Amino acid sequence: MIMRRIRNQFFKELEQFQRDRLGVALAFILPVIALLIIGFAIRLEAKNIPLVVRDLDQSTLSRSYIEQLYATNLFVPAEWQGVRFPDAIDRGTAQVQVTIPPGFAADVNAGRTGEVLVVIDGSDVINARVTQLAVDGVTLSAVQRALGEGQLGELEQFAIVAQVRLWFNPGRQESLFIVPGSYGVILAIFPPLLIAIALVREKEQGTILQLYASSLSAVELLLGKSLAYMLVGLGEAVLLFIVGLLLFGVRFIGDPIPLVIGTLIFLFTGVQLGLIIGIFTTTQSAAVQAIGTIKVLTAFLLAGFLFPLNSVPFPFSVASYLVPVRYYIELCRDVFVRGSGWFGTWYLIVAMVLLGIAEFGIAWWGMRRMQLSS
Amino acid sequence: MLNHRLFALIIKEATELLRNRQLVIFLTIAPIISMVIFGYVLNSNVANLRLSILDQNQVAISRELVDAFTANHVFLANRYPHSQQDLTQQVEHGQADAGLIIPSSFSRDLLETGKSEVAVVIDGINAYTSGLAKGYVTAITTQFNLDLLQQVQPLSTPLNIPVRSQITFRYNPGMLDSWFFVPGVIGVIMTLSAILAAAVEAVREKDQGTLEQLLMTPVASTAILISKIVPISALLTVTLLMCFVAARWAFQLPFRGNLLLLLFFSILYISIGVAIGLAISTFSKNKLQTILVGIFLNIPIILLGGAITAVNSMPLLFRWIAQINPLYHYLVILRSILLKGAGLEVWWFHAIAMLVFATVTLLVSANRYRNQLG
Repeated sequence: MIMRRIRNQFFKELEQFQRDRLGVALAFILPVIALLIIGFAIRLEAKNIPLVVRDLDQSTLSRSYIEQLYATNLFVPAEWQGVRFPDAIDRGTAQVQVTIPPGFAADVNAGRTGEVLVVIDGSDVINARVTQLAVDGVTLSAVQRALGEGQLGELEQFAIVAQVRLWFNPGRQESLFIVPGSYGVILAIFPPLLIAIALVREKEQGTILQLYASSLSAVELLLGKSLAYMLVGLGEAVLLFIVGLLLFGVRFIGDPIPLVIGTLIFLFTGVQLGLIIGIFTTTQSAAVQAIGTIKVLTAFLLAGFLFPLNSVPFPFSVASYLVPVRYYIELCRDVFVRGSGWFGTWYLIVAMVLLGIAEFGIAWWGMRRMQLSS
Repeated sequence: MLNHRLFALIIKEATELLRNRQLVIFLTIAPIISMVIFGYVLNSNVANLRLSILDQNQVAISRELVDAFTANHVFLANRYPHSQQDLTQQVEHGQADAGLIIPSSFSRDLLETGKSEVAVVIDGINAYTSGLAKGYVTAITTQFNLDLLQQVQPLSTPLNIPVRSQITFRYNPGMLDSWFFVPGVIGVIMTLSAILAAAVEAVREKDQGTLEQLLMTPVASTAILISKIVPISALLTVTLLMCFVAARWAFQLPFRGNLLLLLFFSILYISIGVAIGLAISTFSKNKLQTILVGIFLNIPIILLGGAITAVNSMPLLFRWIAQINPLYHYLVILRSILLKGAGLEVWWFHAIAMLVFATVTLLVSANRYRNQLG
């Protein structure tokens, strides 16, 4: 009996959804376009940082220093014709300026310290940090070379070398990081949006009152609607996985079962949040703003999609643990890149289950309250 | 007479907007709270990477090397496995972000041959973090080598560091991430709010058929359009000012440039967002389509506008596309004014781009709107 009611509600919801053909097409095409844009465009590895160099020394040593700088592949020479040198950063034509003062090589050869002056535009911290590290690296290797061939021949020894190996993604292929993450971001946004709009529309049109009048209980209503939009979300997920495989070569590694279960649970948590927003907002414009603020912003910024969450300070780090996308993104990265199977993913699924139950509780409570009040 | 009617219309629209309490809350309080949270959370630095340490040598010098790795909070000593298999497994299962293996022959090799190797493995899923981490590993070991040299160097001939780079960070000497991200987040929030609020509010009128009523009245369609744009823009401008105050207070964000120009271009940007929202509403048939397109459009605008990632690192095609992203130009202006204190002579190009955008988007949405009315 209960099952049948849930099933009826499920089919009713799908029937209503598929009536707007263009809407259905958009619900499936827009996530794919979003994946393409994110996958092809976003690069976290720094490149093309505009650099101006003023070599006042013009020695072999200074030239090799500059060559080494360009060899990091981070910089492109900035155009600064007509701009006085010290203004290049103020003008925004360069983000880094390197000055090698006269007498640099002479200082080094005489056993004194040759200084390189570097000014970095700190208003762009991402580029600035990478630049700092690169300049430090170039300087340190210059130090080692100078020590090796110069003043302290025999002390070239005592060199500890760290053999660094990057696992799972040795080529530092960015799509392996960005694409699985974007599955989480996209699936966090679209299914909750659809269900929230559907619920608020029923409220605005007053058709939800008929449901209250019927013998349908709050749990049945919630489950019926949830399952319908989870199915839509599942369709979107499969489509995203296929496009990710065909265009970005992102394939399953290891056991796909955690992904299947994790995806279903993640869609459930997302749809519950959509329901909660739908229940507590009275107009579609408020519901959409809520989705925009809560889902879009947290998915982009609070889920470790781009930057790691290791260094988030205390009270705010708690907030990130309450975001299901965080766990799902981690799950996707594991399933598509690392492939550690159940061992590395079970706790992510448990966390999502707990959040899902809590959300379902809130939705149920809100729905009961709403039914009683009307 | 005309002005009087326009004024009356604006008042009508404003009261309608303010009547939607939930929407007002999502357009005012929610943005400020999110800005503060994301200002603390977003951090492009790599810190506290969990390091699994396998020191098979266990002598003074190997312990010193371990200390050097964990001294500056890039790495955090997290686990001490007993074997290489353990360590491998910990990184594979995501329990550690990196592993350091010091072989048992470490100190012997160093003394006998002057050279010694340690192995570092880094979870390379995130190309950005692993790149930075790799740079830090090189910096740490090179520095360690230099310290070692200085220790063994006889006191009579103190070792001079042959090359040193003196790095200054202009505009942001403390390299505070928040100074970069907070303007970005403000731009993101304004984009989301303006586009979504305008799109949904405009399409609501279409759905309810109140547009036809407006048509009966003797007001020009331009006046109707202006009355739609002004109240939402004004509300968002108030939000923006509150965001600035909160950013000043919470992050000591500097306001170095011309505040009037800042205000002018901020209002211009909000109007562009509102105009885009209105245009979306005229292109779609119903609310669902409007909302889907509105939310979707935010994804590329936000992610490709340089709010949280560096535009210069994107592939060439997308660097060109960034030029037609109003958020990109607004953020350049916003950061230039706030952090650099730079004037129009530096960012005039972006100012012109924004004026062109404002003209085009307002004309398009005015035109579409008029056709829709007619």
